[in-house]
Amino acid sequence: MEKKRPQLELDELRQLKWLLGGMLALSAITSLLYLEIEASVFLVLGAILVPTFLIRPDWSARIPALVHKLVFPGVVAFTTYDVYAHNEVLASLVRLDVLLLLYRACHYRRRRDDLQLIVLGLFLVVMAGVITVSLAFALQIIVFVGCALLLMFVVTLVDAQEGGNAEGPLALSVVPAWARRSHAVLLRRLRETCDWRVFALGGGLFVGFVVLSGVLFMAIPRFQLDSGFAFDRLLSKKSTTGFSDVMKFGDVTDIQQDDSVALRVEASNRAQVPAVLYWRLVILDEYRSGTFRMSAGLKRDFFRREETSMRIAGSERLSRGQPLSWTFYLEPGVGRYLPLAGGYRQIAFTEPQIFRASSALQLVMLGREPVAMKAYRVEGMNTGDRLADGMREDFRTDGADLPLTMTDVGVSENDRAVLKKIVAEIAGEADLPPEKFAHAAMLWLAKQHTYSLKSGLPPGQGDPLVRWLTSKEPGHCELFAGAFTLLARAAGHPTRVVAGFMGGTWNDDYLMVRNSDAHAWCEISLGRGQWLRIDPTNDGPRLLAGGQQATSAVPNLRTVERGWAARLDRLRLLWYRRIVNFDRTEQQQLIHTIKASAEGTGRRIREEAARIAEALRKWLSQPWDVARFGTVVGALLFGGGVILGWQRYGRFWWARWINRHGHGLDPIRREAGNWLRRIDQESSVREVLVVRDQLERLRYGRRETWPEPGPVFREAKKASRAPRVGSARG
Amino acid sequence: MSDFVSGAAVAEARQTIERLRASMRQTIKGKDDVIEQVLVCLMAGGHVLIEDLPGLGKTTLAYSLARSMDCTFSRIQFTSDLLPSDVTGVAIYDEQRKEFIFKKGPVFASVVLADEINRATPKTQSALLEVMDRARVTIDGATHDVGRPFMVFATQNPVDYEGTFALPESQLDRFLMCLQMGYPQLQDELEILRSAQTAYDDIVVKPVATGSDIQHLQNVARQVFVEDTVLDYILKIVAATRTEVEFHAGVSVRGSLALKHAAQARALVRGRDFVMPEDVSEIVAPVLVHRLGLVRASADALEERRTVAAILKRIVGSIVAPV
Repeated sequence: MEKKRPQLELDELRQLKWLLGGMLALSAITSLLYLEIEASVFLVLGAILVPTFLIRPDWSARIPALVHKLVFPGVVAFTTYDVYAHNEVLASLVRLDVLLLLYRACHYRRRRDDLQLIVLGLFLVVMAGVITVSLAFALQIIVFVGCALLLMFVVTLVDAQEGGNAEGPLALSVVPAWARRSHAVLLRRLRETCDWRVFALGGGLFVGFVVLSGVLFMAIPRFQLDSGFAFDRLLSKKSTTGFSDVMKFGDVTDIQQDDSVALRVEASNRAQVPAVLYWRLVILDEYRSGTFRMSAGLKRDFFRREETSMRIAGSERLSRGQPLSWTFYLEPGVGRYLPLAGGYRQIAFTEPQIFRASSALQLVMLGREPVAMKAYRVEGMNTGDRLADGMREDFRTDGADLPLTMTDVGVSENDRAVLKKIVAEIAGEADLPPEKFAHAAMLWLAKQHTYSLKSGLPPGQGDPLVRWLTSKEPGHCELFAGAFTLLARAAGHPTRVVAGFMGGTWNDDYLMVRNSDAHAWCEISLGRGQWLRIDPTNDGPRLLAGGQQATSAVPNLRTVERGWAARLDRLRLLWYRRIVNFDRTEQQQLIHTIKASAEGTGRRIREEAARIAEALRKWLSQPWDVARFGTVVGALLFGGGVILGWQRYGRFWWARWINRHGHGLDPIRREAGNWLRRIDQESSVREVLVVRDQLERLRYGRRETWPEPGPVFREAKKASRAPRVGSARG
Repeated sequence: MSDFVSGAAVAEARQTIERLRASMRQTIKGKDDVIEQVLVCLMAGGHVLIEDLPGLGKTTLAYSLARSMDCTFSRIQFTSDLLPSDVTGVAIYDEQRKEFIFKKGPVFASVVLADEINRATPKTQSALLEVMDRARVTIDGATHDVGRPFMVFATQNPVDYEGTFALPESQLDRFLMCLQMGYPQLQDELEILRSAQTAYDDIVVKPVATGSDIQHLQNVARQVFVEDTVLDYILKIVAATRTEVEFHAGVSVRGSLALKHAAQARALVRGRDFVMPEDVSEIVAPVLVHRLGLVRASADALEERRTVAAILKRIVGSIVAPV
């Protein structure tokens, strides 16, 4: 009786190869989802074509022959045009890769086409991974590698079965026999032909591969592929939101519409994190015709020259306690300015950066807008409402030497007169110091205007902000901050608008700052290089309501993030933490921990073994009397009896009991089947024939007619050696 | 009767079957596999369709079986003008007794050879098929049992199609097995030539069993035990024919029952009271080959049967037998 496990036929292997190739292509094309390259047409095409041909391989024969002829000239022409028109080499390369991948996934493939498919897919996946360092890449590479390994295995099997005889020239318009086969049948056949041991071995190897890769990933020194190969410079980032040097009214509120995460911040000690956090990104000093911008003078005079380094030294002095260390994970699309709460002692990057820093403004501007997540660590960051500007000494004289753009209201004489009138209304005739004026102005604004994201500037002549000031229209943060700035400047206090984020949400042990947290506020000069943060949008109404200090703690850090999205985000941060390495300490610590743990476990096992051996040796070396001797013999006899009893009766009782109370194949039938497999089917030795009959009865016969299973299995064990005698005779 | 077969009953059955086998081997030379399949069919109480060229011993096979079990034998040559009553019998009016008397047709025999069944009209074919199904004939409201054992050997000439009415698949389903005799080996043919018998009824066959023996054996065969995993194996094979793209339809439930009964009968023929997977796999082709049609039907019936058999072999090879 032939009991050999059936194998997949050649056509079934070809069908499996097709399915694996399609899945591989699909997994590679998903890179386009997070790789921010304009390839939506290819994504849609891939989402339609690949699954369609995956399910109906016979339809591939319907592709007109002309398409096959024109495809390569067409791809070359398209790529040439793409590079010429968009001038983005990497994006064009990716689009070229996707095109070829799509084509390879849709037509019948020979071995070299399959290998090409793997290489094309790998290029796409690795490119996306290197550029985006996305969490999706970590998952995708696992799926992709699994598919690719299986595909290569099946390609090898097909090759082995074909025995070097290729299928001949590939007829793309003829439906091969395998393409007509049902996928359900293939699945059933796979189930039948794949032994669970193969699955276990394959799965084990794959898990081992992933674990080993993980350990290597942790152990090897990190290097930054993107900066090494400068891939990101080949890719132009098309962010939809972001802070820039010029902010028109409504820009910040536009950013607020986006609920995606802009920034994740970890603090070394959560308890020390203040309740109010303002993440400064950009200072807008110059006001002209309804638009605040960072003036060219400020950029020129107040930023140091462009430099390249992994560290930026700041001017902040540490006053008390241990400095908090902050780790920022800045998502792409926010802009080229780094979010910071204020002054800092030092900023560290994971790799050398091109930047321009300003200790006067406490801002850092990167050489170019990041296209992937950018991580940096800030030591000794000032999170308070007072900012030391670190400007040169000669600027510290009541703002006289501050750039004009911070004092000039930038409106017409008429509007200036209106502003003066309002200032007089706010402050009276008195010349209020900046802080007091700020409180009075915020109160006045809160009385005049309410907060609303939907605000309309009243029609009319003159400056739009002045028109809004004189109206009763509600306003958003930009209007409040802008209006306050004009009023303060009209009162003679140098003031500037700051744009950035306010607050954030705790997710486990880190802060998530979303684009919807975008905010605009002001900083008013207190003289002598001191600036005070003023948030007219939030503090004005609070003053109006309770008369609290404007800078009192505002519970603006929202509650904790919950749900699956928050958990997924934690996973993303975990990934970021793993790939980000500011120094080797953490990595070395981890390796040391793993090593120490392995050594500790080994030591404990050795100690325990030594202890047991010692105890046994002591026990054996004690004098032997009758009682001890009897105990040992009794224990040995009991143990032997238990083993023999189990062998002879116990396991069959157990098997029968299981059979009565359980499901599945009767254990006795199963064991009989195992013995049937083991004894030689070809043997004609009499003992083998007899025991085979009995085993067959145990396996397939009616239970009531069974012989006693124990003796049969013992005989089977003896008989399993008999064929060797027979074959020796032969 | 107990619900399972005793060892003695199986041993006795095997002796009877071996006598039958030996008796038939005396007249049918070199066709041991066909003889075994006919015996399996007999034990399962089924009917046989033989598709092969004329003159290869189909009639002799049926006749020697009938004689070996000491049963009646009749041969019906199907032609296009054959009427149902020519097969089943007719009620004629008896002037003396003033009543209708049923005059039995040739179907009233234990072994009936329906020669070239596809030459008869569908109406006549269906009259025979009804008898095969129920083992009785109903004429004018009166039912007449044809008796037990009852086995039909129908033959079809797969080459000559002129003026024939092909049996529809629903009717083919009623045959337990479809066999091909094939040419004998030259050595066996020499033996046939030496025996120099000209007509089948010249053959002298000594009866080795009786009709009641056969009925008993058929009852024993029904009680042969089929373990669940073997039933599952049958189901897997049947299910595979239903999803096979080369077949335009899979095997019916009657087909799976036939497979089970034939496997039980084969186990008995092999002297066992339980079915093993090989009992199933070995009779898959004869039991299922005529129940399946190809999507791309072949003009040559023999060729089509061969293709179906090859696909069935592949299917059986692809399913793991339970061990």
